Amino acid sequence: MNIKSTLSDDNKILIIEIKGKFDFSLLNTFRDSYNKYSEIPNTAIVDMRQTSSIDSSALGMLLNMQRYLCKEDRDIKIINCNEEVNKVFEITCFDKKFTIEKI
Amino acid sequence: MKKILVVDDIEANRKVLRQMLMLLKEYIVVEAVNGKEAISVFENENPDLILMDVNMPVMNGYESALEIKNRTNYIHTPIIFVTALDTEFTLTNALKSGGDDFVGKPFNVHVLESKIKANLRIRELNQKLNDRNIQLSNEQNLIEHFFDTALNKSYLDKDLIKYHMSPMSTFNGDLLLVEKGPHGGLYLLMGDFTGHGLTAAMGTLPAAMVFFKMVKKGLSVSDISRELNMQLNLLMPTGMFFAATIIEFNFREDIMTIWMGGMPEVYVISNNGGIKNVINSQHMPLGILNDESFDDNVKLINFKKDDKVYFYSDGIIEATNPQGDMFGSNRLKSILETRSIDQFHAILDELNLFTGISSQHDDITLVELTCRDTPDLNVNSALTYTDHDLLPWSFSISVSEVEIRQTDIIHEISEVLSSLPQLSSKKTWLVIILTEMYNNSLEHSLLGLDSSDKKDDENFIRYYENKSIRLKSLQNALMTFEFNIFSENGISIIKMKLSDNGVGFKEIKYGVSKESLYGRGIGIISELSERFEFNDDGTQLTVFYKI
Repeated sequence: MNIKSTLSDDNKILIIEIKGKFDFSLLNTFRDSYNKYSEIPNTAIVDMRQTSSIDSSALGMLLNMQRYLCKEDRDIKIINCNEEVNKVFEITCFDKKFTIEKI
Repeated sequence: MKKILVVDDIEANRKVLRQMLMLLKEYIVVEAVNGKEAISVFENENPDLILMDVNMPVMNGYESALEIKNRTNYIHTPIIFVTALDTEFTLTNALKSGGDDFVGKPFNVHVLESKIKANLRIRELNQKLNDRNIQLSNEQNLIEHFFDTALNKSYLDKDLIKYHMSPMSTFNGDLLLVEKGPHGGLYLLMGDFTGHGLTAAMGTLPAAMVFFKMVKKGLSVSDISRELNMQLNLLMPTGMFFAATIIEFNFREDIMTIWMGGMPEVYVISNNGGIKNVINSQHMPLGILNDESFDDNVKLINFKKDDKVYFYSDGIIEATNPQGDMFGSNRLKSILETRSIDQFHAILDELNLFTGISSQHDDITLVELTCRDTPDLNVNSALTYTDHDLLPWSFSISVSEVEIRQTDIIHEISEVLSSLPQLSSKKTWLVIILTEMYNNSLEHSLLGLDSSDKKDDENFIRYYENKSIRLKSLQNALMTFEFNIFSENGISIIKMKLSDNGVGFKEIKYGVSKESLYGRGIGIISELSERFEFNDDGTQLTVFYKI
């Protein structure tokens, strides 16, 4: 399992953890990890502590997620990014659209 | 030869005994003429057994025996009273004063010999027992040292974490470990092994090793629980298990992630008092299930700064008073519900009051953790990179659609590249760049996909579905990677060239639309590299990266 998602009992917090390379091979699993729930959580957190690298298709997948979740004013945080992953977010200005937290 | 001390004030009596013992050829005889002298001979000669007369001047046999027994601190030295006064009073006093046996006068040599032998046997058994105890306590000290070293590196901030651990014996089957992770979060493991004493404590060693190792890597609570379960399942005999609570506190998001198996509930007390959350175990204890059946699902709980979290082992609620009643969870809960008191000490005080003089039946642990971040104690060691002169490496590799479909090409290439010492610390950067080069060549030049097809969600997904479909029917494809390492104005550069035999990448309008779903790959290459260029109608992309 390269993606593990956990929703809190009150349906308010969703944490998605991604392991290894975050690329288009995770397309469907990643989408399922946030749209399988009946209620949309207030806070969604993508935990990248074990994400080794990301590519441009992963960025597209994150944007898709944002479009799905953020129809109202909701927050998506991407946390525990390593140096390289963080740099990719910076280069692509993703740090303006998401809350990105480095290690 | 055993040494026997004969104590008698009458020379003739001593002589009879001495000769009798000498005839047996197994004993050395030393003598004393009264009780007082017997004490000093005892101290100097360290006899194995004493034959003691009762009535003597200066100090009688009873007093002497009492004194000798008081001075014996280590090995049992039998004292046999030799007396003609075989009244009930004499015999009782002989035993009361510390005597071990008596023979009546005049004595039968066979009876005397048997009694001496029987009492020496007791001394020997006692000696063996003492030796064994010394060995045991040495071993125990050694084991204690192991536990201290393995468990004491735990990060326990006294302001934020109050804990009370009371093992019922030297070794504790309850375990409390707290450590900061590399992401700044705080990890806590609290658990209770089946039983108590050394057998229960044995499990704490591997558990602590796994915990610290995984925390150091910053792994998730799910992963830690799974690994602990697997290791303990392998190591521990059936019937032994580890009830545990594993938590990671994320102080940036104010979320705790918790896995609980077989532990009593965890209470979250609001920073202005009152119970806010009661978290119950959702799993079986660790070490029971095999890896396939193990459930690593966690709970997420929101907290606020300065909320307090209470953990305890079942030793508290199962503690009994002299009448046999249990302390119970309600008593604990009602203290936690009480506002404006030091609940931690209130629980311990009430527990002491309740149990009174009754003995402890299990290890007891109570922990209070205040949810507040503390300055990071872990100093991140920066990677030191020693500069070497680079050899002018160059190599290339060509792949067809077979490899493209079956292999993680970029992974393999980057493994090879990062085996060069100068490139190992750049591995992730190279992977990012190579991935974008590869995606660009494959998707646009070889598969002929148009990246503007990705402009909305549905098309984005369709784009990647198309990619999979076209990849399956791809034929006669050829991709060639060429790598050259060289120096340019004193700067080491790796040149990465990727050529393909496809239609070429046409739209070189990269970096314009950073918010859209497409066109970002080239943007990433552009930002990370020194320079790059497309040649041969977009079938060749060359990227220069500064090492």
